[in-house]
Amino acid sequence: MSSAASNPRPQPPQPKQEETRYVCGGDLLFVSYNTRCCGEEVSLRPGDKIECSACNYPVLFKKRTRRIVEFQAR
Amino acid sequence: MGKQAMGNIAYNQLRRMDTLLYLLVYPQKPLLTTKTIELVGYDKLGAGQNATVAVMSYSGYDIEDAIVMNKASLDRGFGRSIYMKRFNDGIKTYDEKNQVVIKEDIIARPDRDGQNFGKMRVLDNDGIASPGEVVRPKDILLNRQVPNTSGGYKPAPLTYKGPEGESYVVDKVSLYSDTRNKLQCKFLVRHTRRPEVGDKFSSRHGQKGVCGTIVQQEDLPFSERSICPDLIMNPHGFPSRMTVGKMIELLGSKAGVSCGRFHYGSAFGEPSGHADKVEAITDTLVKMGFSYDGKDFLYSGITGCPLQAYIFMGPIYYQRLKHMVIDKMHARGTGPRIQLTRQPTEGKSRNGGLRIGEMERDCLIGYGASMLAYERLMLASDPFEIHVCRECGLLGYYDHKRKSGICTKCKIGDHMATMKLPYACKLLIQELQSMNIVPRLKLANA
Ligand SMILES: [Zn+2]
Ligand SMILES: [Zn+2]
Repeated sequence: MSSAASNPRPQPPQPKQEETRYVCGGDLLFVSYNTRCCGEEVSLRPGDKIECSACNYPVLFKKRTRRIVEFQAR
Repeated sequence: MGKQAMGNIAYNQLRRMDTLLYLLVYPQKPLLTTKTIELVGYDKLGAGQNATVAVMSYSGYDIEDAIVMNKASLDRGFGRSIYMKRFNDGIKTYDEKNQVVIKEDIIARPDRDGQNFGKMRVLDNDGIASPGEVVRPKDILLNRQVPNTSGGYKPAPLTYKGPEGESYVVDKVSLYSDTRNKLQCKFLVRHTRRPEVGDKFSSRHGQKGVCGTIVQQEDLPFSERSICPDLIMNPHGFPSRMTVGKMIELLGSKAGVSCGRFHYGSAFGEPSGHADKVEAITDTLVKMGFSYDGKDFLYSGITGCPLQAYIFMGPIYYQRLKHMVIDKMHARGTGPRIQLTRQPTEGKSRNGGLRIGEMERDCLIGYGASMLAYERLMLASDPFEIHVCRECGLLGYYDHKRKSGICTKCKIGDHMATMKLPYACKLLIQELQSMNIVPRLKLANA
């Protein structure tokens, strides 16, 4: 299993994509009021390793949609 | 509190990514507790709300432990809950030749011009749905494509499944790499639910019941202090269950809320203990201007006249349980069938049918409703037309060239007849044949 990571990865044919921005989840998962959340914004291209560029935290979150959303209050 | 009650599950509940999460929007601390509850910190994470309960009959929609709810209370947020569900998916690899990755999935950019764009509405350019979007059933959350043999890719998206006509919202999307360094995604989908008819509620005494009807506040009874119940519970729930604690909870909570002090509802009022005894509670109630027995003088909300009896009314800590009709409601006309037996599938997740079981069948037979039994057990299930040889009683087949049935054994089609039977029966006949048992069909008139 561990050797799988070092294997050469074939490049699947896909249209060129622009970078999408994500938010680092470092410390966000834990309750801590005195430690600072990382919150670094990370830009990724398809195939990039999922990792925060500032703190190497391995979980990223997607940013909220920029489209206008209407909610129905009931 | 209990396993099924909704409430706060942890202080980090909104940062977690649970597969299924039920939260209460505005949990409260119970007005009547015990010392033990305080010592173990059970009331730190609320699991219910203090509802003003009137113990009386109302409208007939309160039979069999059903409760009548106040619509205005629901509008103010009583029992409102948040339901969160997680969907997982990510890139899979397809190994060939000792663990060398030959092929893997891709997360494709949404096809904005394709005919499937409607389903890709919530996707970003990266092919992943973004938080804040309202999703409808069959919307794509992750636009995954799997490689096929010819070097191309075929869509295999992760779609959202849920009830029609409800607004579920993508709450949170997290990305991470798995052990092979491939992108994996978790989607948390959120739904806010107000109580509806059929949702389950319970007090802390195991007095569970479903919401039978929701009534306008104008039609509910009210006291001289304009106190109106959030909830009406039928008194028939008391005698056989013998939940005296619930009545004492009502008294204690009523005293507690009117004098401004949380009360203890411990079982024994021994001198060394700290329990608030019913006698002391009674004194408090009288001091606060209530009747000593916790009963109030109520007016009917419909007629405006005083009710004929005094009504036992006060706050009781009520929990909303996680069994909700919206998750269970299911009906089907036609739909998928099991390949082997050609009978309808089972279960809500497979859009299955509702089974006429053995006992229901017994009822139909006992009543003599043979046409109904025939229609339910065959026509609505797995009807099948077979060709039977009247000579040897074995199954034949229809020859499309000769346009007639043929017996496989006799090799002629002279004595063939057609008949309808359940496909499961035909299957049984053939399975018996495969075990060297020959069932023969003898046709009385054909
Ligand atoms: Zn970071
Ligand atoms: Zn024959």
